[in-house]
Amino acid sequence: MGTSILTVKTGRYQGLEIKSGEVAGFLQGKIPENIFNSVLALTRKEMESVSLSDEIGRCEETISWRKKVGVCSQDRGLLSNLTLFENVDLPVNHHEKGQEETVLALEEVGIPRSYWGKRPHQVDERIRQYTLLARSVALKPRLLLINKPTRYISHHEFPFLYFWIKKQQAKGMAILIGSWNYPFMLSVCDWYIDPETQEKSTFPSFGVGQQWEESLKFLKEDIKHYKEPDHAT
Amino acid sequence: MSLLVVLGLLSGIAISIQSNMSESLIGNKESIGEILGVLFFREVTPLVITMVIIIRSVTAVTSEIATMKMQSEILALNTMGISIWNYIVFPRIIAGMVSFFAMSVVYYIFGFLGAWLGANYYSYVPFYPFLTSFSNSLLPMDFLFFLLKTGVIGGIIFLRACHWGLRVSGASYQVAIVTRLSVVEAHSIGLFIQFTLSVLFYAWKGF
Repeated sequence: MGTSILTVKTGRYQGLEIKSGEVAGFLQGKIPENIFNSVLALTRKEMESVSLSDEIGRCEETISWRKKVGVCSQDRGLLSNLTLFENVDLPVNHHEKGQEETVLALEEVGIPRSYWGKRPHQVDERIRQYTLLARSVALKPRLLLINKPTRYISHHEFPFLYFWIKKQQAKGMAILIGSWNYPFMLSVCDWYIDPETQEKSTFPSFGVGQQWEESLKFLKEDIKHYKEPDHAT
Repeated sequence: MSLLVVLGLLSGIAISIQSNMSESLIGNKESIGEILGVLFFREVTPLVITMVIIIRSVTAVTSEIATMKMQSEILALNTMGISIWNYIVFPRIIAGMVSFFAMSVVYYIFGFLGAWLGANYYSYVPFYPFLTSFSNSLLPMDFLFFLLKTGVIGGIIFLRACHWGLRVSGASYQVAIVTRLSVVEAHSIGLFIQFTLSVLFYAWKGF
């Protein structure tokens, strides 16, 4: 297993540790706000409650280290005056990386080129969600925080999303996902925080319900027989 | 641009006719060009442009940033490690200073033309002598203070507009509130700076 990227030092999830190449999840619908804020040091007070790997190099004086942390919120945060391409290119350009990173991220997430020049209000939530995913990994972060990735995506596309997350995992990213979609989370996460015991778990101590179990079974079948689509048009 | 042209021409004509009438009463018509030059360049232009830029741009900047904040765009910039000051605030301050200056120049040019048209309302006034009297009335320090007024007012009101926009905490009704507060404050700041710089100018030059 990889090196420790994020360790929670205080609060309810004290001792929680996410390593590189690991996918962890919160089955509560979103990543708890205090962890999110602490990771990004959005509030000084909470900054001390988590420690981040030296690879991320968090410091108080600057915010450029945040390029090492990718964030994908649900359907919010795209700049409305920029096209989808410009939105993904914004952090890439700002942190002086090549435009090929933008192209690669957009292609990897499967947004057709015909959409790249459109503005966020001209596309549906699904495309916006994929654009946010592309932007979150465009700088190849060490830690990736994803909130409700399945919210605007139809269940037919879950295998695609599954393999996209697995690709990022293979690149060595530590990934933390928050989602209420139990079948998806149980498939994609290496471990998750059990919503009942609030502890790290690899198998739910709770009954997921017959409906969820069937969905999980179908999703696993879909993943098994999945073939990468051609999004190049 | 068209607003500035119309506003410049109309206020130039109005001020010129008013001055002409007043000067006729005290029998001192020769100094109209001088009075217009001083009045228009030093006081009216920065004052009118302050009002125009508040109506036209300060409202736009405040509501744009407030909406960006509401839609988590500001948070997204923050999380990407992009400085809000460098990406949002500073370019708007520079744009505010430049556009204030450029708009003042356009307004002044058309105000001058309007003043000449207004001066011709009572009797024929040739353009060149009018221009000479206009330009003779201005001192080098007038240009320095013109630059100062346009730069300082433009910069500060746009800085404050960004500040108000960033103060929105999440509810959409707050966009209207911060825009109103920003406009009210921009008027006060604009007038205060205008007054202070004018006092400094006359204290330096002598009345």
